[in-house]
Amino acid sequence: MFIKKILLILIFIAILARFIGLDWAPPHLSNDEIGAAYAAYSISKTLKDGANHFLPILWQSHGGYGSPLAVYIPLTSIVIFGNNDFAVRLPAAILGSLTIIFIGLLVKELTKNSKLALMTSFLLAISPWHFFASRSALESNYALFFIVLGIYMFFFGLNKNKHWATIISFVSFALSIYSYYTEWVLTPLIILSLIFFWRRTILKKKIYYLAILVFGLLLIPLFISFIQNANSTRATSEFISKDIALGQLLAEHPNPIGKGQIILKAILDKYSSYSSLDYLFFYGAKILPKENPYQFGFFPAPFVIAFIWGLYKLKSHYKGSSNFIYFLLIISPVAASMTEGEINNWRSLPQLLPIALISASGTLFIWDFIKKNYWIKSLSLGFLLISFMYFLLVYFRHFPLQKAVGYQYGYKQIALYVGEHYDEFEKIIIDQRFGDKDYYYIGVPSSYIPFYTYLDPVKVQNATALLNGIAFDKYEFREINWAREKVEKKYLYAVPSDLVPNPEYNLKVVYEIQLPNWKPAFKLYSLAK
Amino acid sequence: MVIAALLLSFSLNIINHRNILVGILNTLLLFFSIHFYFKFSRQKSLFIKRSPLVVLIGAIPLFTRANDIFIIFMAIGISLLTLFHLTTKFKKISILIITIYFLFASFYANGLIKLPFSFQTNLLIFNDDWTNLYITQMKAESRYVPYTIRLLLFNSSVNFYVILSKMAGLFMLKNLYDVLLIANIYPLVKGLTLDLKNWNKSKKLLIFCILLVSLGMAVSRSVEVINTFILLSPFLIYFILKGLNSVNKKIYLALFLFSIAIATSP
Repeated sequence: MFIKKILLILIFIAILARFIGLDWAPPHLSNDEIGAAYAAYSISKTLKDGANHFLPILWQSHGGYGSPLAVYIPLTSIVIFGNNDFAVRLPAAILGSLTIIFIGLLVKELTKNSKLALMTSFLLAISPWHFFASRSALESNYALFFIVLGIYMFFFGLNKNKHWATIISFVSFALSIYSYYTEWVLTPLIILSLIFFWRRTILKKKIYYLAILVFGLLLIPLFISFIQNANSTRATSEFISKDIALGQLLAEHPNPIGKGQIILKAILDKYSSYSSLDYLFFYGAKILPKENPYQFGFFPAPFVIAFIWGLYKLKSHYKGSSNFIYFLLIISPVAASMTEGEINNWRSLPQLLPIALISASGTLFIWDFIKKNYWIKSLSLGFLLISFMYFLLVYFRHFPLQKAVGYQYGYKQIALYVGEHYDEFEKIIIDQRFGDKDYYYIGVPSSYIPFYTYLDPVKVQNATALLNGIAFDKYEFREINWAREKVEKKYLYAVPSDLVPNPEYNLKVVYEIQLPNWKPAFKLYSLAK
Repeated sequence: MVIAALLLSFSLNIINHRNILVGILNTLLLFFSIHFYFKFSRQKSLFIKRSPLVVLIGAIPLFTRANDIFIIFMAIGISLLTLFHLTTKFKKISILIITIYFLFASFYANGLIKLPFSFQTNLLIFNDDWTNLYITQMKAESRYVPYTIRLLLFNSSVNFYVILSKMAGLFMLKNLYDVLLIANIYPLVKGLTLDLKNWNKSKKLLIFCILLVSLGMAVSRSVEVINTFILLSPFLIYFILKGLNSVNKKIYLALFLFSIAIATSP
């Protein structure tokens, strides 16, 4: 009983921590977050996204089409709390916290073991990667919530013979597909496996046929939208064959069998990376730069032993359901393995579910194995607490200092300055580059500025394309080449700090933005009066 | 069947790299690895001698590559030393010899020792510039934390975390199927599970040896995965043969065909 209380308190603290400083860590809205946030703002005002599409299902994001719930979930909180980081990330924190609760309920439903249920919730609550994901307004976190809710409702409906729960389960599965592209592959596999493993009960009951029908009907609008935008949805543009190196290899081998072998090998290699223990328990959360040794995995490193032990002993806790969990473990990295680019921990977020279930089972075994040795138990709990505190320290302190550049830090600050001095300038020209002179990245200030300044979305929808950028209202978002720039009075120029203008222009710095580690990020120039 | 496996291995060696000496040594290593299984499991397993699946062990890429001759010798030494430990009365001395030999072999395999004997300290992970830079940076960024706590939080002990991470990463699927083929991961896991079920003190030796070789790999900045697996080959073959008895033959053969498709990918 004492242990249960301790676990409950710790779960509560970990949930609470998900809501603290949402506007500070991560240090800035990321590229994907601002894309969704601006589309949500635009739809809330005009019922159209930034690209002028009326209530879009797949909405146009930077260089592709984003999934629907990425926009429609944060929309409500943006309407209530305004255009700020807290409003954008609040739904993620809420759904992340609910995932912790529902995973516990799921385990309770499967095993009737409340200690194991609490242990699983606890493990997910202190998972560095889930903590991180719950504080970012990204769709994979929403999808994980709907998957967990769907599976829980499925078993609740199955065990208690509640038809409404079965319908909610399949609606939730459909919503997971509306949330993120990974679930386009994963959710159908989960549904098929549930039907297969519990076929003796399911195939006899009409409610499951109805639920599948509802699931299919709900997906029709998404399917139609996908067909209409087939060439630019991420599901097609991010397939592994789009990988540059792999593409070259495929081009060299015209034989279809050879091509098949190459793609299969590439998928398998990626699958291997996603399923490796060092990725899952040592560095997968990628909170700090990759060369930094102070990394975190999906779960704290000591749980690697619990995971291995759990793999071996899972059956004794889950009995008939253990095959489903093993299957979940095998399929959860499949969709991510089929995509191009580097290993992406957002795409592999669903792995959290089976690994949490298995690791919790192993942890409980080890816990019971120690039996009445309270010294070891207290020591383990203390060690775990210190690990989590250490994680919080790294997350809230070092992560914003070391990773701010990657979040395009500075555009929000530019927007806040511009918002206050909007009337002082005739034109505001913002360079789309950020980073330092060794390597500039291309950012999306054209989403950050109108979002934070509450610019009328109609102006953005009627934007004009420039040769090297875009313009709307007073704003121009383009590369600034000082050698060719015609400097005018009442013009404001925002450029990366390294991009110093010719002194002859007589431009003076009106505002300077520093990164959280005090390194200069952007300078705003205007003609000296 | 064991002889057929050895013949298959030798033939594949000749086809792959046409180096007869390496072919003989690779086949010899496979022979000693299988011999290690028989001695260590203390079984006169008729299944292994008669099962046609055993022939396919000869196709394991680890024994058909153009491996470094010295490392093959070291791996043979590893299986002989472990067998020596099983038969000798002087267990403590043999453990000491095993520890020194295994570490030396692993250091050599991962470039930490260059012959005749030059220890490459610059290749130790403790001398990694990035790690040391980040330790300093983390300390600098936590000036609000009392000095003593800061020293406790951010110091060279982080290398221990890196070592564990590398050891965990060594056994990733890709490394395993590159050296063993996908099909053999199946009996490997089965063998491990069987040994866990029938756990006894002698099994500790296996774990100890695997950890020792992995440790040697993990402290080096120039990781040679293939070389490390050559050193581990007697133990890997032990688990594969142990599990081969209880695998589903049809699944194993299907996986073997799949493995060939992957292994022959352009």
